[in-house]
Amino acid sequence: MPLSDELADEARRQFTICNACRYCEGYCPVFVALERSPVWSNDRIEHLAHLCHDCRGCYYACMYAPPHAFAVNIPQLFQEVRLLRYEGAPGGIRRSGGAAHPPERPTGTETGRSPVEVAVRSGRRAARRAIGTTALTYLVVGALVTVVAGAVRGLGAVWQVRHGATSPYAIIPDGALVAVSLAIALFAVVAVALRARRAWRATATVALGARRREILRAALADAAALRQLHGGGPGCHAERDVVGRGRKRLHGFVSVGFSLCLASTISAAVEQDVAGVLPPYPLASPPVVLGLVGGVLLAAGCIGLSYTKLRADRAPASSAMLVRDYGLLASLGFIALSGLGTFAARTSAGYGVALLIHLAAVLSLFALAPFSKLTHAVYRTIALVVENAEVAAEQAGTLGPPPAEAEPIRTTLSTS
Amino acid sequence: MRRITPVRGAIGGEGREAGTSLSQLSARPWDVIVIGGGNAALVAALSAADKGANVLLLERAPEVFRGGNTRHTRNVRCVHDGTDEHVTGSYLFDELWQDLCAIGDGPSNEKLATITVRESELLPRWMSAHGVHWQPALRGTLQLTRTNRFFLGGGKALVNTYYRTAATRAVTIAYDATVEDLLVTGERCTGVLVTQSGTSAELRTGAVVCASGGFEANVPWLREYWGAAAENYIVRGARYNDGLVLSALYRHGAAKAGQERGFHAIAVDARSPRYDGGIATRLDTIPFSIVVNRDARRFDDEGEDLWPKRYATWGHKIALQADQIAYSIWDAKVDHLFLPPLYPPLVGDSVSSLALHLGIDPVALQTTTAAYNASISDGGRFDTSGLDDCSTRGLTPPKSHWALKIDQPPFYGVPLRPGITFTYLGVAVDESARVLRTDDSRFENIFAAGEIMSGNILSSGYLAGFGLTIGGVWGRIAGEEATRAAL
Ligand SMILES: Cc1cc2nc3c(=O)[nH]c(=O)nc-3n(C[C@H](O)[C@H](O)[C@H](O)COP(=O)(O)OP(=O)(O)OC[C@H]3O[C@@H](n4cnc5c(N)ncnc54)[C@H](O)[C@@H]3O)c2cc1C
Ligand code: SF4
Ligand code: SF4
Repeated sequence: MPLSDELADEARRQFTICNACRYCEGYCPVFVALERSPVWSNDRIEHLAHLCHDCRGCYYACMYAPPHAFAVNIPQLFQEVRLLRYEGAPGGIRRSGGAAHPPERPTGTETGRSPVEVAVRSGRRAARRAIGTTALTYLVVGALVTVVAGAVRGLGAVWQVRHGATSPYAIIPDGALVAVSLAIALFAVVAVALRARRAWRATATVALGARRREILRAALADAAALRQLHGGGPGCHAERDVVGRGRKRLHGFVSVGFSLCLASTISAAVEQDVAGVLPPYPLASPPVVLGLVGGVLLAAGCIGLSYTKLRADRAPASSAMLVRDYGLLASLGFIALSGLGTFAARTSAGYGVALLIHLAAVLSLFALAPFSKLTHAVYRTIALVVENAEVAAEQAGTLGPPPAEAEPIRTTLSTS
Repeated sequence: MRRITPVRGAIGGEGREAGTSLSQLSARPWDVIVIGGGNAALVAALSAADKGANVLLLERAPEVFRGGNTRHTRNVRCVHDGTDEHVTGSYLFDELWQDLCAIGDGPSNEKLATITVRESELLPRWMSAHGVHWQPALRGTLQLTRTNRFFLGGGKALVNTYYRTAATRAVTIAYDATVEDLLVTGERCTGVLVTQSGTSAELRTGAVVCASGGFEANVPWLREYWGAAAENYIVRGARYNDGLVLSALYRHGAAKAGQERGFHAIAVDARSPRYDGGIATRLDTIPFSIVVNRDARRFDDEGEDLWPKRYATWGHKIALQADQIAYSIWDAKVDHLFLPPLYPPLVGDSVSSLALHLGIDPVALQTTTAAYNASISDGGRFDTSGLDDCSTRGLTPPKSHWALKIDQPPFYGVPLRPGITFTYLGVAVDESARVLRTDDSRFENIFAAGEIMSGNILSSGYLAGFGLTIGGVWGRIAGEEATRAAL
């Protein structure tokens, strides 16, 4: 869904204040990028929103944060903007129209409700819709795998008590599993790729040119290091007085855990199709080791991040995004735990059911992926590429820097 | 991640029960009470705690607006030899001293000014040791400067950091706590009278540090020196700095320092909030524009010198105009040359339609711009990075640089008012930050730091970043001396 005019106007209103203030330049590249081209198209607003990694430093540093009349709340604003891109669902913040952007936050909207009321209402609505869609997908995919398994092996096979570890193919046949998974994975990859291409086209400002490799390397390094969660040094905030690297570490658990789980799946495919070794795999095999370590890390990360979020300050958060955050963490955590559970149950009667539940969860995640918060990794990486390209162009002098005449004005910023 | 005791109403210092209510706070005497919640107060409180005092900090603002004018600051000016990565080049004692002598009438009290400059060198390290982070040198367009160092995130982040550090030390903090008076017997202060949500209490203490800022938010007081004009001033900082403690000190016989009409003021958008608009409401349009008064007449040289050197004079200039209002007017040619103003400028296709939007006489404005345009001959070198050759000829007052004709529509204008940053009038102190009395004696255990005593150092004029230097240096001295007096 494109950025609504109301939300874009609200972004321009807040950016105008930031551009006149510039105190937050040290936290992350967002503010410098915002000043680089002080005319903010809707696409530019989106780019800046994805460039933000939500460290929240700028919220706690802002003397104009609510209840100040200027009501600047950049992390919340950006969450709303990102949400529109992830899944096209509107979040909460709205402002009444009007071409100019006086810095005071308007107190009422055309519907007569305050922006806060509107935020709460539409946040709830969006949350209900998100929960509904997710539940429906789980049901459909769950039913699908059950039907496939039942149709081919018979539902009795699911409950059969076995001796020794079981092969998943005893529950659901190889061909059917591969067909369903590949179809869903293909759909996810193509859909994400299309959306990524659209985002790149809309937000790229300079061609990568000869320095392409260098730029991409820098962007990927920024992404992998989650550099922007460093908040210019002290780390990111969970609350005003809770600052540090904790959130970044937990996020690392999730992304590394998730990658190891993916690697486990891929290594199983390799064992099977290249080495010709069929499951079940021994404990010391790559699929099992990767899956176990990945599962534990992923589960720990999801639980840790959820706990941090539960305790975190709600003020710089969009309630609509919060629902998606919990949703994604719950999905990933459930995948991790159900995967570990399936492993633990592999010699018991529960194996079949555990396996079907785990499969349904994994496949649902991928089916929903292109429209879920999971895509944040893609959009953020694109934003980092755009940012690194702009910096490179600026260094090379090919990006129109702020006009040289503006220099004396910049120096007034060091005055009071 | 380090979790700190939740801060609601008050934070308990290390190993101490958090007590918010006045009755809890008045249960026992404190070693040092610090009045205020900005830079000077926090530095004093932390320094006193470092020396082993049991400190109570009384901040009048509610927690969300804590930190006084310090919330709005950006950087601090200190002597340094250029060996760290947060500044460029070196800035030695003599140079800062000369800069201080060059502004206004120079330092009021040379001895105290010398201490300030000398001790400023130790301040950055002290700040880092108390949790302050500095702005890193960034890729992109950001530049560090030589004279001033930037703390990460600006003044509110600075204040947050100090409060966070205080929560781990022997400092108890009470918000919404207004000090109404000091309890003084002879030359000794025995306690303070505080009100908090409608109730009052006397809190006992061994020493007190007054760090409650200036009185810039007190319009009736400003009226005493400025007359009705004061009603039209915009207060850039905290609404809580009304000088209550300063007047209490005067009542108890404290000697004055600084000029009554001394204040720092810049031109801000007239549409800014009455209080707390901070840095974003300032305008950088003046050197690119002409500035006219209520009668659409020019009254000063808009291009006298580089803007950073002159921007702080315009608050004063506008304060002397009728109704304390002025209008900055420019055209399409220069519209992209400065930071876009916070409030959208008013626009007109012609000078007279702009005048109508601004609410000034269109004929008079047209006469002014015509005379201004006629005094400019085309072809001078226009260069905003230095003093250029574009100047008016035979016009009074002249515009000495960056004078371009105002002839390319659309025409833009913003209304300006004086925005007061802070006042200079305060209490006189000695080298130990003890407050002096009008009879030339001194209070035994009353100390002052920050804006409330800046008149000892700055007579008039201002050096950017020096307000925090004064608060930092004298906060440390006051905190340590107060501890010595109390223990
Ligand atoms: C927009 C703006 C930008 C500035 N930028 C800079 C800069 O970049 N660098 C710089 O050095 N200086 C700057 N200054 C000046 C700087 O703010 C002051 O010099 C400095 O903050 C003064 O510190 P202070 O602690 O003395 O006073 P303040 O920070 O104003 O603190 C006064 C405190 O006392 C409290 N208080 C007042 N009365 C009472 C009472 N009766 N009881 C209890 N508490 C009370 C207030 O609530 C407040 O917390 C700027 C000022 C403004 C307005
Ligand atoms: S978030 Fe607030 S403090 Fe930071 S740049 Fe924007 S207006 Fe300034
Ligand atoms: S990354 Fe942090 S400092 Fe930067 S915009 Fe986002 S929340 Fe603000």
